[in-house]
Amino acid sequence: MRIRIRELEFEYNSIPALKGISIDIGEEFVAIVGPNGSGKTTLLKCMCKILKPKKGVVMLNGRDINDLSQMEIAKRIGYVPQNVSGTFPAKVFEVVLTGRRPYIGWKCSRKDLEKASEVLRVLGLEELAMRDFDTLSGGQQQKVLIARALAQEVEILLLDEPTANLDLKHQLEVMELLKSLTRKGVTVITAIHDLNLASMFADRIVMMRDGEIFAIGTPKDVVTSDNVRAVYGVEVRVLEVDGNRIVVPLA
Amino acid sequence: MLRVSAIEEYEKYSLGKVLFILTILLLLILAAGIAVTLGSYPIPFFKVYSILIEHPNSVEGRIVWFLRVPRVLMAIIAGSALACAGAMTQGILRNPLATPYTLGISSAAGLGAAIAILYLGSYAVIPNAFVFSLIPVFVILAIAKMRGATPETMILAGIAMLYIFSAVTTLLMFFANPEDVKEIYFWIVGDLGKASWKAILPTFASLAVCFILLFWKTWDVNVIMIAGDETAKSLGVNPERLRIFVMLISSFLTASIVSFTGTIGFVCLVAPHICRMIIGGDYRYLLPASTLFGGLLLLTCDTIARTVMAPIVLPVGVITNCLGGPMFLYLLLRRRREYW
Repeated sequence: MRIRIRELEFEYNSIPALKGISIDIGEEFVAIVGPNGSGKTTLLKCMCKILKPKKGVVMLNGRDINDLSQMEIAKRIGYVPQNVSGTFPAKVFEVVLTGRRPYIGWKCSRKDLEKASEVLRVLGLEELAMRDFDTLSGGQQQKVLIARALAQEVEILLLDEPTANLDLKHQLEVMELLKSLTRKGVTVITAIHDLNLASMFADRIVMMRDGEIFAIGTPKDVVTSDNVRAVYGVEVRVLEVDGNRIVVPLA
Repeated sequence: MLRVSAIEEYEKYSLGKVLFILTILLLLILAAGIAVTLGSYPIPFFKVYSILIEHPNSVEGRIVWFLRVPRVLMAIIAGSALACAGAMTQGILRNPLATPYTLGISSAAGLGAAIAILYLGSYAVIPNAFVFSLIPVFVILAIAKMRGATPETMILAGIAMLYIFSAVTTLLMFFANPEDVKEIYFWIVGDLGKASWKAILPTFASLAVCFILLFWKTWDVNVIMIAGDETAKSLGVNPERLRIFVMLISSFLTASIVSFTGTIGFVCLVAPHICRMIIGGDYRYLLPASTLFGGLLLLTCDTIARTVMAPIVLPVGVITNCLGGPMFLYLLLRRRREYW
């Protein structure tokens, strides 16, 4: 198991956000779904020590992350935030290069430049390298942020709603990219709102409600009309098209 | 089709920045060479250089060696130090208006100087200004420890401090005699007239040490500016610790300059912005560029202040504001893209 979470609790100003979460995650694609405020983002942030949990442990390859420095964690876990606004003008290449921070002492080496350039090439972003990040489209920005996490050379990738604000084509592109990373042995854990996309791509789905895990398992087991009613309070029908689960809300 | 790789493009882009820095350095040396030959006491251009080599004990020799050279060096050191501290403060507070003065350093130093002028005697002005200017730093540090070192907390705490110290200074001036008030006022405006060899060594040492310490953190400042606090953590950078470290060093640097020169404004705000518009926000290049450019800017302004109405020497702060302001507006209008 790459990540082992036990009895994780977190509070924002004594309002509980996570109430005793326990999961084991290996080399797989895990989608975390749930209504707004159910604790998806908080859970992701606790996994990479952006937030410090009140109780419980997060084990990374068998070691408590509290015993690891932020720098050591940064070499193993990459985090792709949802909100990209409020950043400063920078070239795409510079943004990706910040992903090399855990490896750079003081001066970035040839290897760091090569890694950044390689990641851009793999994601088909090479043409954009010298563009200003804030002039890119939402889909391109999302890919650049993923590129940065890849430049980090991590084995675990945490993403916070990577498909939000993207059109259908870019949503599929990003999800396929993540899927291809799992095939290369990267653990992908993503918070996501779209149940259909989650079912299409994820190996397992974690469905959260009020800071607790309501259901966990394969898309087939988790994405059911009963679960969706219980968690979202919405009546839906779940259809199966070409082996994928499709959630259709009932009027 | 010949394809240029991303690395080559990036290296070309970086090379441009290095050339910019070298150009500024060259201009600075050139400006210093011209500035020593100018002044209200006319000494021919080449005579100045023979004096610099021979050190004669004549009136002209003493003017060049004990008035002009220290003043030129002090202008460079002060301008560089203020711009260096300003660039870093803007970065860590993620605020284009932030300067070390935003943290209350200037008004605290002003109060320290005022107390020394009124009650202690002129010998105490420099040490007292220095000690006082570090007070807001420790107050902000204490507040940051309790409430978290976010840019908002630090800026607001700094502004509050600025008002408190100015109010106390005003109160002291209100009850002081006119001669002292004038002296305090001129101290607050800032001036390089008191530049002497004795001031060069400590200020230069402070600039050199602080610059190296700040330059060491430029990568991390890039990360928190580009990625934001939370993502910066996932990249291995602790934003709060970085912010406190940079604030301490920048404040110390500013305090060590301001206690000698008074609060020369604007250089610390404008120099980093001008450089940022030209070479972008990568601090590995922006910090050295701003530092050199600040020196060049203050030296140019001071030389104008000394010569434009000679033999009257204007306070350098007036010239920096009169020149820097329009220059800044011009660049603001001309820029082709968002730079902040």
